[in-house]
Amino acid sequence: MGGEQCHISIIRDVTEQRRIEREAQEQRQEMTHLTRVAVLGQLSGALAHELNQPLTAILSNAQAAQRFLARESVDLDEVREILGDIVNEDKRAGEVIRRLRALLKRGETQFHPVTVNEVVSEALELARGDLVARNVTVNTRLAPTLPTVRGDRVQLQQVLLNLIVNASEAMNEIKLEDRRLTIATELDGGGEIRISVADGGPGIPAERLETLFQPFFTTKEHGLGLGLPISRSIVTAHGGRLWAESKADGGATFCVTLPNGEQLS
Amino acid sequence: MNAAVPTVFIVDDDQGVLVALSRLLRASGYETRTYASPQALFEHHEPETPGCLVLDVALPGLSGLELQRALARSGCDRPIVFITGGGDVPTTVQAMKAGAVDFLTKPFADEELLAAVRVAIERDHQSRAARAGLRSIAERLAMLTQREREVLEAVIAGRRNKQIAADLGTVEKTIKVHRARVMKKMGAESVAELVRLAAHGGVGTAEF
Repeated sequence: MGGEQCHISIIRDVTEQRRIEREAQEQRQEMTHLTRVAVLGQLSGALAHELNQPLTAILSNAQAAQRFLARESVDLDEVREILGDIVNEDKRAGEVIRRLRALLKRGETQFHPVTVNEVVSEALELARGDLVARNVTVNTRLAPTLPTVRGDRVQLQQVLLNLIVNASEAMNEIKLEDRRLTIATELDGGGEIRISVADGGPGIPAERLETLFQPFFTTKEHGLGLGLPISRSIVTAHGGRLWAESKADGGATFCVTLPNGEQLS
Repeated sequence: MNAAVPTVFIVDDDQGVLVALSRLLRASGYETRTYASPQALFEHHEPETPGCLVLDVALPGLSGLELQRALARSGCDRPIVFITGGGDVPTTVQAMKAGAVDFLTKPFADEELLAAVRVAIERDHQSRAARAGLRSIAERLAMLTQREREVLEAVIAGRRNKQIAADLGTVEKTIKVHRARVMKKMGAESVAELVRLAAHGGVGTAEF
């Protein structure tokens, strides 16, 4: 252009684009929240059980204490012990509520260092009543020393809870003694943290291993078909991967890998 | 341990609930034994100790209903009060059909549990008394000689002494002696009572 310097400026209004991006992000969070509520709905019977246990213990302890106190010679040590147990059972009920509230809270994704084994234990604790009711035996093989990951604790808990509930439902049709759920955590060859949830159910046909993760694909009578797609989007947002494997001898395994949070930054 | 105090056997996998129920029942004057699993109860089971079972339905491993069936198969009819975390109607129906005394939904008030336990213990008491009665009849029947047994069967079949004597090829006087011994050994005051005892003991028929 004749050797003259020239500037070309392109001005584009991206307000609309940003708005669309923001809406998409909000919608994603809303969907995440909704599936979390749906998973909790599935678990509500089991959660009622988790609250019923401490409530039963508190009531029976208190009424036992009233009866002991009505006696002529009161064993104060016994009453003291009862009151101590009432306090502990009440804390236990409060803890169930606290965990529920954390799961139900809608909020921005927050990334913090998270201990994977703790997330596994908390998810198992939430699903415990459901697992017992379905007669599922749980084996855990948690690596004793694992680096933390960077992530949103509640969202990761939701992924685990979803995989545990799925695995437990996959074993509805098999013999009680074969209903085994194995959860393992390890540091894999690539230096990533791997969580695997394996069931003893009928397994998954090879052609379905990927379709499972498509929205609205479900084999359940009352399923929304969103649990796995949302779980995968959560894991992907954490820089990890979620996929399914079917074993030759039956049973399905869902694997999650997450980057080592101590090597980043 | 006081043999006159009935024992409540409690099975619940929740340690807090187990201890609390045990306290409540002890505070109400019962002996208690606690078990964290159906297997533990099955292994340290005391069928001879009078009392009832308080059993959680949702237990790991063997479920409450399975334990109910296993106990019934092993000949133990100890009455069961079921307790449950949720109102699961099909399970309730199944348990009640299989002879459960009551089905309580947690959390329950002391009076609900104590009322059910009272009924269960009364039921256990009656079935033990009935069994003891049967055992005593069986023991008495076992004391009869072959000939006395034949006379007993003829008497409850409604035969007269003379007819029995003819049937057995002896004289009426001998039959009278046998008959008196049968009444004495069986502890019966009348023929009617003898017939009743024999019927309970499985001799002859109960038609009368």
